[in-house]
Amino acid sequence: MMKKIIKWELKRIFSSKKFTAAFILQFFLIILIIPMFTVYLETLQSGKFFSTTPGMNEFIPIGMNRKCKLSEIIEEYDQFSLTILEKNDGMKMLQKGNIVAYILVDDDFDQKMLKLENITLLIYYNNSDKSYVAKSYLDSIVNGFSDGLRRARIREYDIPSVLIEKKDRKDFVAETEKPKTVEEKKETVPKETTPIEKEMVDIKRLKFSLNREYILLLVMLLPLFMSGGLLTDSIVSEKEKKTGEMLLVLPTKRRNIILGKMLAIFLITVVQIILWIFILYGVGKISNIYTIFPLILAAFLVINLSLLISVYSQNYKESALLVTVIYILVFAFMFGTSILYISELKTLSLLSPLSMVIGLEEGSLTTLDTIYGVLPALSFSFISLALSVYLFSKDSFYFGPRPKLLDLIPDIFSKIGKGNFASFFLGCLSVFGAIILEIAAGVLMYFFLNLDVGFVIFLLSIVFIEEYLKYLAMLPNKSKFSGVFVGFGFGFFENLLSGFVLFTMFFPVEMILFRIIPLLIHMSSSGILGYFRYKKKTKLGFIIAFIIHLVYNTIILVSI
Amino acid sequence: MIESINVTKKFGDLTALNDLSLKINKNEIFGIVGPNGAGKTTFIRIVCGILSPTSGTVYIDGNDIQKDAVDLKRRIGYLPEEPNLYMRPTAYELVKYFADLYGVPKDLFKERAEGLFRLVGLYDRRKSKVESFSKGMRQKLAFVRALIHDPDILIFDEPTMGLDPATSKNIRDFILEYSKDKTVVVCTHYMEEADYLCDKIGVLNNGRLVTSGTPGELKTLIKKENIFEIEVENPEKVIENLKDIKIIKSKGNKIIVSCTYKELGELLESSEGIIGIHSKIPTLEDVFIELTK
Repeated sequence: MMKKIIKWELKRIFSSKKFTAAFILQFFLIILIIPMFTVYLETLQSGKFFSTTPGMNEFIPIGMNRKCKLSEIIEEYDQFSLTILEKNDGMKMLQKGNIVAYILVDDDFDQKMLKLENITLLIYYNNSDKSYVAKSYLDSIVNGFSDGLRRARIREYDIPSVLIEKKDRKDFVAETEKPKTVEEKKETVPKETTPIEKEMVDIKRLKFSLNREYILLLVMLLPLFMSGGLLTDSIVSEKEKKTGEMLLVLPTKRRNIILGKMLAIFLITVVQIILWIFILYGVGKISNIYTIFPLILAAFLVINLSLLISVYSQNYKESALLVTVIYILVFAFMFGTSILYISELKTLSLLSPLSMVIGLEEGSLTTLDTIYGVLPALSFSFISLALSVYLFSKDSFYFGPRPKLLDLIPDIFSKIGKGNFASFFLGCLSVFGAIILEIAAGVLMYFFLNLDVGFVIFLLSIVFIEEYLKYLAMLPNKSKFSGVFVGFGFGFFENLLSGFVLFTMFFPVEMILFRIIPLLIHMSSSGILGYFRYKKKTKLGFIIAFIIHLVYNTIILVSI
Repeated sequence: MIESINVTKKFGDLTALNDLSLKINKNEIFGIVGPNGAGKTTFIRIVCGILSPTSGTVYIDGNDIQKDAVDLKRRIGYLPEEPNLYMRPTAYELVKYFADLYGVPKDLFKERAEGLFRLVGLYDRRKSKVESFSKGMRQKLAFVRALIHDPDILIFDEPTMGLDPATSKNIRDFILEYSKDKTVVVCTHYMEEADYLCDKIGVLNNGRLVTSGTPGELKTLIKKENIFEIEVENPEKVIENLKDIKIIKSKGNKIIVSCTYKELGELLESSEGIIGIHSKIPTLEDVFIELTK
């Protein structure tokens, strides 16, 4: 049955004039965008435009007088191309503009650092635009290096970081100077190119090339926009025109109907992606044909989100609005996060499948990166798919009246179970929701409010989000201890994730101690809320839980 | 046999069907009548497996429609109130698609489709696009679509709604012709249609089954009393004197009442301006109005 539905949908789409027009338009758009971006990037590279993000166009070339612990750290930063140069050569290169900063460290830099003695670091910059960016990055590295030393001290003496922080401010002194001795004078720059300079130019070209291909691949996301539209059209129009009623009477399970529709659109999108990538590969604009796979993964995610929107929406107007909002958020997230791939936050960037595109083009994608890259997108896709199937199985989503979103959540949660173990599990799941909402809240505060006000609101919103999600998680369980189990699940899973991140920073024993208090706080706050809910005084319970959580978070933040 | 046992269906706060129990025998044409919002369409959607009851069960030949939906749906041909057709394909393509979905073998399909297209009078237009069809033609095409897999249970929701009298008659005759040896459920507003087509009728009101029986049995429900059509000069004055006499209908200077001969005699004595009195045989419409007041 599903195959027949897929076949029919494909036939229906291909016979549609709208689709043909969109397909042709898309083809020409891609063909036009390729030279357009090439010209744009070449202009950027030539320096005719002022770029606010030089690090995004090419590596920032810097020099250093010797290899040491600091050079190792700098080399981990993908923004820099570090060259070890004698002082005289370094100064000349800085003057010529071949490098934008030159770092001078003492011969006993490493020994001094290990003994926690004061170290003097001299950094010379030239007058180029990129030197400002280099200074910003180098400052953050120097500060981070100082933090690293502090962490070493914490391990050595086994004392809490909160206590040591104020004492250790002077254990590392960095002098960053702008420009100290060097003036940029282009007319005095000799024309000959030394082997080192040639190597730097090659690195610069490589970076340029990566960015060009990355932007081209982003263009390939165009089919995803169209696929979402097609799917919405296929599902919402059946609701509006009531043709879907004849599908519901078919001798098949309901899920087969929407799976058939979804797979038909997915198939079209995959074919489009393959077609475009092969064309780009053929004309030499893409170096790795496997970039098809992360794009297909992104397509699968977008299509499943569109499916969920389509099933949820009552009409075109609503679906169009939801699709627009969700697409903006999803694409901003995917683009924004993938850019982190070329920064030091590579693992975080793999939340976006597009990061794998860059990884493949750079040739730096490891198996672990692939797992990190595939899992989030695939998980969210399948969660959306499962929710869509669940909603479509409910009469109210076709014949109305559609239940309110908040009424649906306990209904969906109760499918997992109504006992204490289910509450524990739902508590664990709530952590995912909290992460997403807290990141979103953080971004909104960052962009729309000043730091102080934004921070206070962010603090309040974190507490509200976590307590509210835990409240939703406890709804299917009617017992008075529901909140304790939800809080336990939430705290446990939060610890598990935090432990993952903190593992490299603390010893396991410290980690366990460090995380036991938040676990107890989550259990207490939710436990109280759960008990008050049982006593039919939910609002009062929520206020108490909120205050407990807020007080704890405030103490922690003030301490840090 | 279709058996509904204590079926309740709620849409949010609205109860569309309330503890509905009824039986539809094999090879019977069963009419479901009732005012708007009585729950007729909801009931047949549950029988078709489109909707799930909030509580209660519908059995078809002893099998629960919810549990054995896939198998039972193969036996059902459903014609919704609106034809709900895809507009872009041709009539033939559309019917072919549904035949495929129901797993009709290719050789059987050709023969069956041609037969049905001829039967409804669309044979010459089978290769035209659906969007070019009139309302009546679309309804006929919807019949072909509903019957292409040769179901033994036919469920028609308002089959002649909005059609002109000639097309309506055509459709009714077609239903009678085609439904021999099949179980048919017809949901309708038109009492003369139910009277013409159905072996048995169930009257629904506010989601409940008010009564059921053959058209004749239903008419006797109000025939226990005599029906008279009274023509009067001043209806308002006469209505004042009616006292306990039941008014079935009042229009212009005609009043249709249900009463005994004794009551009629008293009315004649007390009222002036009565032009004429005619004895009236009750119709299904009278029954409907009486039962769904």
